[in-house]
Amino acid sequence: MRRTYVATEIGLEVLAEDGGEWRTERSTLQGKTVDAIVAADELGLVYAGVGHDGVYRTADAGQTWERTLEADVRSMVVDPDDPSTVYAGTEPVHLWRSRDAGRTWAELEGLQRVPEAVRERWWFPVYPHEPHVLSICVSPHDSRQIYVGLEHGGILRSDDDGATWKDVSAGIEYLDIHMVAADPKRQNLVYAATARGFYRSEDYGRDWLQYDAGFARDYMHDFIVLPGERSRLFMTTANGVPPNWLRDSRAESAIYRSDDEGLTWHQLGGGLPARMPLMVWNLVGDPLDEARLYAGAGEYVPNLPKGDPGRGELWASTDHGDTWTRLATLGGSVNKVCAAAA
Amino acid sequence: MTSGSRWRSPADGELTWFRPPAGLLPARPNPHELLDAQAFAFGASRALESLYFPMSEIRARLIDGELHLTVAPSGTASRDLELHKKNMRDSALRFSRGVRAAWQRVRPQVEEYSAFFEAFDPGKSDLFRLKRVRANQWFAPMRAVVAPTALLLYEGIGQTPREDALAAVAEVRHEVIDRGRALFYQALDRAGPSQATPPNEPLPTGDPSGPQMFLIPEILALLADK
Repeated sequence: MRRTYVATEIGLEVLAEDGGEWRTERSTLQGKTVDAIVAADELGLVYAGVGHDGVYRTADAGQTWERTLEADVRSMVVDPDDPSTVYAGTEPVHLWRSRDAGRTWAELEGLQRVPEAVRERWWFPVYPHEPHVLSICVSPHDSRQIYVGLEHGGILRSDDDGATWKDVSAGIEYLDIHMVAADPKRQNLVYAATARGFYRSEDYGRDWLQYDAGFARDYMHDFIVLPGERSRLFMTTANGVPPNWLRDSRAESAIYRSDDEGLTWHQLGGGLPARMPLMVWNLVGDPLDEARLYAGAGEYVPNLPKGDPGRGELWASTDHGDTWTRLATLGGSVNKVCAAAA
Repeated sequence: MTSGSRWRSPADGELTWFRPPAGLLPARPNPHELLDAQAFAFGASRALESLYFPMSEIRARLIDGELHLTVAPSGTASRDLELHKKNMRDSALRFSRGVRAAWQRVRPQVEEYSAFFEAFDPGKSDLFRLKRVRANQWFAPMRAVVAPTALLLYEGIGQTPREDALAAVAEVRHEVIDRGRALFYQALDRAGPSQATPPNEPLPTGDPSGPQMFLIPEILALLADK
């Protein structure tokens, strides 16, 4: 049995698959803007990061929740080497870590001690102009090596388990970082998605190069990296930044795939509209089947009338993105998706 | 083999520096005034960059004691200028469709920042925060009013009547340059003497050109009421 947890502007939908059929198991955390959702399958735990609220933890697939951190949470990740270690990134920029499966949390205060010249770049164009940690990557090769991506502000790396941090944004022009992730095979290879393009670094982020061969979009948001002889990447994209999506064609979103570690890209079809009006905000893999992918789509809520949570869609592929099926439509814009083994 | 594109922000010495028009920023700034010029550069940079103007950054420096600005080019814009300008038009529409309404939306922020300067207590906040708030005070109306007005007047983008847009810019000048600046300086006075020793560098001066200068002279002139 598997479940997908679909984090939306107005709560969390838990979908369960039994015998190939998906059904909605429950709606939970109702009324909350769920910005992050991650699972520690080995422990049977799921964590939800809620904006302007905190981290919630469930051990029973969302029947009951316990809030264990009060913060404006924007991103979460579970240490790939240690399921009891989990990170939460917030607005303003702070990074928190739990070593006991989300029961208690400690801030990684070293992130606040970077030089003022670096902090001066931390900013956000939307009032109140506070940047946030939108992406956290714990290296699959060495969990003492951690990257964070700031919207806006750049990429920072720690090589000492979060004690000290250095800015590693050289080569990235527009520091609106949506996602940073390390390659599962080559430790030195790191990828970043930004609001103005996709970048690769082959030296742990010291220097970045932009790669756009094959893209017919310029706004990159989320990606996943699947291991193989050469890693395969899947990227969610749009044309222009979210305020531009007020146009009739809206986001013009698309999913792209690279079969060569992000050097070249091609757009996926197979049931996906060529220009999706809704933005595909999130892509995730499946813990039981590496050919499966899930994509969560939704509106840019600030473009909607105040109080309108938008609408969302959940798409799935069972063949590495060659073909796609819409699994569900939802009453709130989808922010994140998490597939869990149970 | 597919190679990627490398981007490097040009050094100050690689760019051409020019004097801003009179009335916008002091010609020979003291340390407080230089902080305001730097806040202007940050706020204006972020505003124009977010609207896809084909530049990456405005910088402010002293050359022989005189304030100079420069505009750094954008690598992404230089690779595909037409796409960048298409995005610029899409991006500005939400403001240029109604510059007056856009000003009404951001005016409370501008006033909130002035109230922050008035209430600034160095025991409760710091210089970093003060400079950032002033930069935000430049940012909000630059993005919502001044840049869209320049696009309206010189590129025909938007539907706002010209007089309405110019009236909104005049109100921005009053709130940000007249009132906001005076309150910012008073807050700096309370923060204590500036520790900054501004570099006074020999840098290339002249009339800059290139795509990064797109509408920059017009925007500066609008703010300076020239």
